[in-house]
Amino acid sequence: MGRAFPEIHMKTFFIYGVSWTPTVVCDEKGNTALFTHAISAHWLEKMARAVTIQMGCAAVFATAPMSGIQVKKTAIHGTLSLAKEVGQAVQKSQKNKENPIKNILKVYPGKLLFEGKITDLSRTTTEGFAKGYVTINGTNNFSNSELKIEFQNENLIAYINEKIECMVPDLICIIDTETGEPITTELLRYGFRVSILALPAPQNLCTKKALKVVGPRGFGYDFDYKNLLKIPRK
Amino acid sequence: MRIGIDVGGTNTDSVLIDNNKIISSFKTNTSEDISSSVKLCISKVLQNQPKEKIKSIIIGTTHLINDLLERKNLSKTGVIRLCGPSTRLLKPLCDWPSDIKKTNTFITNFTDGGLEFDGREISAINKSEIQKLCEIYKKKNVESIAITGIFASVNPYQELEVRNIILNEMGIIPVSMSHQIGRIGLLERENATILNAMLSKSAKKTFANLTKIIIDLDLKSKIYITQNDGTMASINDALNYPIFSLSSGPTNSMRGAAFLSGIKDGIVIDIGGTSTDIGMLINNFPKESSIAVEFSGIRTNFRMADVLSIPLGGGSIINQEAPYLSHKSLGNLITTESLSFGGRTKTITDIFVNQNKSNFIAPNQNFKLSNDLIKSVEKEIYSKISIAVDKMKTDSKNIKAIVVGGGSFIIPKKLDGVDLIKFPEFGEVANAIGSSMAQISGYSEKVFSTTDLSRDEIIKISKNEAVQNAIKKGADQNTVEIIDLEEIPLSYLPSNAITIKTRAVGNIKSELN
Repeated sequence: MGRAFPEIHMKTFFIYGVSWTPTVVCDEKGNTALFTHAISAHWLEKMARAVTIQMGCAAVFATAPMSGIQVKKTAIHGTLSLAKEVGQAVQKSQKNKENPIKNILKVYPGKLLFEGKITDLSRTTTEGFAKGYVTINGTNNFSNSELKIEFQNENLIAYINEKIECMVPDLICIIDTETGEPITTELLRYGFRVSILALPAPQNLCTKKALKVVGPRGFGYDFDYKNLLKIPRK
Repeated sequence: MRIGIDVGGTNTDSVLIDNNKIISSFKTNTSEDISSSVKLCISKVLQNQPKEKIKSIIIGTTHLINDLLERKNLSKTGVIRLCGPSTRLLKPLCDWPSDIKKTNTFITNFTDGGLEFDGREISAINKSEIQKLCEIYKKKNVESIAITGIFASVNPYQELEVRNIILNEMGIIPVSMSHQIGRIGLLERENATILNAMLSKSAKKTFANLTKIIIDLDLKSKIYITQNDGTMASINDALNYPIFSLSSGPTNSMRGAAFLSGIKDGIVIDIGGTSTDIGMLINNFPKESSIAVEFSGIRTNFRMADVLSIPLGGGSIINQEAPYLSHKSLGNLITTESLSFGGRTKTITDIFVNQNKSNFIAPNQNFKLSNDLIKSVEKEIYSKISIAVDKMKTDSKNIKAIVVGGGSFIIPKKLDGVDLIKFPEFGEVANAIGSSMAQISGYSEKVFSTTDLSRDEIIKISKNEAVQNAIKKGADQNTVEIIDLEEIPLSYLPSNAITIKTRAVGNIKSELN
């Protein structure tokens, strides 16, 4: 689906009409659960999550059986190769002592939104999701500015000095300035020196249909998606 | 009276303490065999004191970590993972450096057993399967055994059951169980358990040696070994849990700094010849690391002080152009190769000798460095230390700082985000002082049912058990306090069970002081 989202029904296959059943969930002990019908992809998410907890909080699942044409139409293409290239860019930077941020942006064109130090963090776990916000004080070209990111497992909205600069489904990535390693929500900590990248989400996530599910309203915000990045998307 | 000793990679320090007063101190290079420098250190601080007055000797040592790094004195280890069908794709030792797997013998097996995250069984223990393993161990002369069960930190009964089967089959053999060593997180906990098992031979040798030194010196003192978390263990406990004594140096220096400065909460900057260690002190104890700690390329998750080490020390070499501070240090060669000692290499120490700001009289003061260079280097030190201090702070408030270690004269008298800096007297032997100040800890870990007892009653029982265990080991009753309490609910077991883990610490009893 071109980026990570916290729930199954946010997959582009389902947004663009592929059936979410049959879905099968398996564990390492040999248990299998087969869902033959669910009234929505959101219901499938709720039931599969319940089964997964019983299976020991870790399970594998197969879902969305598709024809070749359906895959071509509903999947976002080239995402595995892109992920690999981004990883290689980071590894190359570490090995050659190059600037990892520059090298990531070469592979995935986007914008260096901010650079600074984490100064405040609030994180609570509600209904199985890590929700909260992180505040970053600017350094170098960004000194005297403050960036705030609100997250629910994934980073959703980025504000600079209280003005929104990037919003879901566009990607907001928190990266260790020195190593280029990603810092996920559960690893955030006071004092980390980070760079924030804003990367345009693929076109398929920005249509009217998709934004209903993965736009700001899909995460409970009371405003519509706006393209603030002005960077060509794939 | 008691003696504290810290055996470090470069230096060995010792102090003699009477009623929390420092009577004498000594610092020397660590000798190759380690033992002779320990012997020298004890005799030097003893001076003319009557030997029977020394009630205890507390030692922090790098013996074990040296053996691990040099891959010597390690035990042939049997590794058991209680897992049933789960986790089998990642074998024990899968992320270990290959040389250690080649130099040491490991026999690894998956067996029935293991728990889910909430305490339900993945599968039950199979007695005959463990008995068969014991036959193999006997044939292959296995010297130590490591048992790790999936989610054993939630409930340890399977690991205990397997240990009993092994002891029945094999007689006396060191058995390490993961629930006593690591925290939740299977591979890191398993790694720590295997390390503990492997170190049993090295621990036996080291602690026998140290005991011999004390006997040779005709001392009747009790011997304690300092642990990674700032507490000490009897020789017997240290034998069973060598991994807890693997790296007590940074903790000792932080606890020593706390004692010398009287500051309980703050940041400690310990600067030596090659590196600077920076850590947070919270209520007299070092802040523990919340993430995996690497040892010699092995990821583990046992209790360790959270220390940031940066390559900056008195022996750091100065580059020809900016940035002037290099990551390389002369280390021990500083006393022959640096300008101040008549050598040809420019180091940080030379910058300070040139301004008469060092804490020693340099044999060679016949050189002149430009003011621009001095200013630039000082500016770089300021920003490097300030950034490192800031990285270790837990919030944005200003804090107090304590500077210890042989290189403390290069640390500026002011730093960003710090409102008071102390450079305490005896700072150069802070490690040995920390050793002598180590406390005694007691632990309790039990599964309780919340249907029979209220939560308050359960916590009271657990706290009491931890306190009693600390007193039994030699802690002074009046100083014992609870420093850690962890609750893990076992949500899917009948009768609403919870696991409670409690830790208490206290000062050493006056009869032992």
